[in-house]
Amino acid sequence: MTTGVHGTNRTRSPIRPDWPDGLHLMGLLERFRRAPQVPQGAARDTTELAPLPAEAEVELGVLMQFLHHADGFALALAEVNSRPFEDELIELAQARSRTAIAVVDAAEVGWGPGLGTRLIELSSGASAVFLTGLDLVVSPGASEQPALSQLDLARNRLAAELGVPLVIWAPAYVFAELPFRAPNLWSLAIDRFVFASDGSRARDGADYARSGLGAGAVDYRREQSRLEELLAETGANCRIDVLAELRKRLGDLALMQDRYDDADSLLREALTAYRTIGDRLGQANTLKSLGDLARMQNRYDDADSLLRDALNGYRTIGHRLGEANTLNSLGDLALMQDRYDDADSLLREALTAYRTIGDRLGEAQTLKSLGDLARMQDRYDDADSLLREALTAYRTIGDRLGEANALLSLGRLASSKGERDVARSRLFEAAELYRDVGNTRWAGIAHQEALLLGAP
Amino acid sequence: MISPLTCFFNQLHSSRPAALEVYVDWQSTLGLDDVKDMLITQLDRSRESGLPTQILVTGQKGSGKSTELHRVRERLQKQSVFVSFQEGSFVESLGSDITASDILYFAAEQLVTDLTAARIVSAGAAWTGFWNSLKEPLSKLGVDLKGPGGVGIGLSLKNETTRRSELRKLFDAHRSRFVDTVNNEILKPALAELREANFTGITLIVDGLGDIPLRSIDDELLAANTNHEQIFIEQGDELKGLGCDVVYTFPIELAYNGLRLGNQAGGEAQELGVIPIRDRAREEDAAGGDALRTMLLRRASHCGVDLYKLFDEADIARLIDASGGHIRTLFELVQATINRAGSSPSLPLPPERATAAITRRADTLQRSLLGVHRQVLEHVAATQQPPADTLRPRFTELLFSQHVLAYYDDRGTWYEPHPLTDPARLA
Repeated sequence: MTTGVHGTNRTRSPIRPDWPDGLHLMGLLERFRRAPQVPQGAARDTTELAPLPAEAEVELGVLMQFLHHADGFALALAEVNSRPFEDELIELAQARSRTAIAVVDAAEVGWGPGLGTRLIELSSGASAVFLTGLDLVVSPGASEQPALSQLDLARNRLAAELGVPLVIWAPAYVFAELPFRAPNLWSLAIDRFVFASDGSRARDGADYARSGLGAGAVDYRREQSRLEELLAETGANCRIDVLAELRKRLGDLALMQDRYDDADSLLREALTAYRTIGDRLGQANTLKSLGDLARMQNRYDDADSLLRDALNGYRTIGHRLGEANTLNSLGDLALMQDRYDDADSLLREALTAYRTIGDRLGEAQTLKSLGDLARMQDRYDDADSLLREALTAYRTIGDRLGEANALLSLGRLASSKGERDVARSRLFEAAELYRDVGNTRWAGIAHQEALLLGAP
Repeated sequence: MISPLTCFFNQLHSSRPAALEVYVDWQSTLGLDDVKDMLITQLDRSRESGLPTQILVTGQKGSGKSTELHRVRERLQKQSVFVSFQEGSFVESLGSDITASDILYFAAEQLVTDLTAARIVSAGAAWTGFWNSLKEPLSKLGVDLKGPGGVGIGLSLKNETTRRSELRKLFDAHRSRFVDTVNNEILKPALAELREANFTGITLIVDGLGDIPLRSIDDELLAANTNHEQIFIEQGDELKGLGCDVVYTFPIELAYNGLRLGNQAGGEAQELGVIPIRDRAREEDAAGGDALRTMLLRRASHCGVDLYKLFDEADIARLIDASGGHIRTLFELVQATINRAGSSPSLPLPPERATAAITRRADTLQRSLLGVHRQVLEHVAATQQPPADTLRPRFTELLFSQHVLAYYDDRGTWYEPHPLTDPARLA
């Protein structure tokens, strides 16, 4: 158990009884539930902490120099390949710093408008802020990254009002998303520090580029072959995590392009690489992609087995967003097989998970799926209540397209119940909202469905 | 008391507009068309003619756009123009959901706030009067009319996402009366009052609009493919409503849609390029490098640091070359080099420090690239222009993420891959 920092004991939130004991050791749950820490008092004797690998020691020195020089807001990225190691590094940095560093967990911040203000409030009184836990709210390769988008929008407020340096701690795949998902924030990052728990030397730009990875690779197979050559050439000393990520990303790309065989091959190789380095999050993410692939190919048994493996993986490491997304996929799979009771149960589990992590968009989408399912089962009262909840949730987060979708479902529900006036009104409202958000195709569909109900 | 090195490190934060004492007017040094001069000339002409103008201006993140706009503000103020400066902080709350009407509202709100602060009391009264005339429908929406500036519309738009859609409908239904109130009951009397105090006109600058998050609009029936096109091209007329000179910033990818944008704006859109350290023919442009060197020198000497004792001259040249002329990249590379200097560095800093900063940055840039991005980079390297339509979204991503840099000369805009994405430049 972690002991005190700067002479005071870290307060730990109570552990939920339904989590495996092994998580105590990993410190994952603590991170997930950790309240912001602003340590006070004299510096702690760091000799009781185990020495760092030499490369990591150098990087930590560079990070401390960054904290030393930055007078006011400045942003840096700390890339780390294991969560326990991240905890250790943060503790060391806090111990070596002569000032108070606030550690704010992404799960505590609450993603949405006003993120910047909340982060500033949570960091009050600190001389620097470490933001951790982004890996729990970022899904690698996903087309939407709401947490990163909000962080991107908050960067002006942070630059103007945080008043102290900010270091974001995350694994490599999170930072790989930054340039395209949070380009404004990314452009402010002064430096990136790279920590590897096994002491292996990070392969940096020039090496990386010369190795062949940097050369223009239009053909995915060619790139794949290059990666394999590089893997064979450098063996365990190269950044296997980078190779695994690239394969996973290429696999997801192939999946999006309906190149199923390529996707299968790339993802299976990524899975092997992640297993080699013991990256359990990488394994879970890849199993989820393989499961989605099988689902798209109507290989229902394979899909079920792969998604359940992914689910177990996410649960073992406490990745609630991954867990929620996988439950959703399993729910969709059950729906495709007309297993309505299973679908209901899985979607409800996903709903609970989204609510636990405060993912309002996931919550709204799952409520809508549950509402549609209830409508298909002729459970009209349940459907009405669930779809209304979804509508409120979409309105709360300002998702107008989601709002229109929920109104469309409510309109169809009213139509199924024979409430033609209510149905007509909801469908017209949905049509108007679709038009507002520029989706004239669905505006036309909703409008047409309303007209088919006849004149009032 | 902070050390000179720490002072220098903090002078390099490019997220803050450069103060006048360290500012380098690189456009005039390089003999390029100066965005400031062009804006001032257009605004002068507009005041002479009495016909308000709307000017669109863009530039890549970290290329000094906000700094240049602040210089424009200062020059206009010296010409006795009343300048209202909207920083665009509302973009944070509205995100990609923002509309042209929202921009119009927040621009006008800033103007009223600044006029009221300048003791033009009638401005606040007319503004409050307008919103009070909508008291009943607003109170049905739960909007508190006691917010800053007399009303809480802006606060509600930003925070009440549930009611945003209804508020916009209400605003849109009364937009022409709103514009009429701002133009005839606020701007005209304010201008008359300001002229008595020897002011020559009113200009509103709206910064930060280049940061509106990009969102695709997947609808084949619409001409706009993105929310940016929708706001600045499809709904562009709404931005022309205010009866005073307005400078709007806009997202950089629309610059390669310059003709449509220019037509919509009623004139030429202005673009601030990255400082060219090589010209279009990729020959070295010493003046560009000198301008960047001068920026570092001014900041260093402001803090009592001798730049040439801190760095070997060859290392400064390497850092400038690695930046591609992008001011923010250069500053961040210098900061990263200082981070690697240790607590008691021997001077000048060994070349390995700059090398480490450059290679780390290159790695950061390269690892985020997908195969299709590299395809776009190859195209840009070969043609210096954006790729065909199917790859445009990827090109836009690369422009936002600074993997591609946009330069400007008298022949227009050209593009180059960031030098740190090019393995040959790193070898």
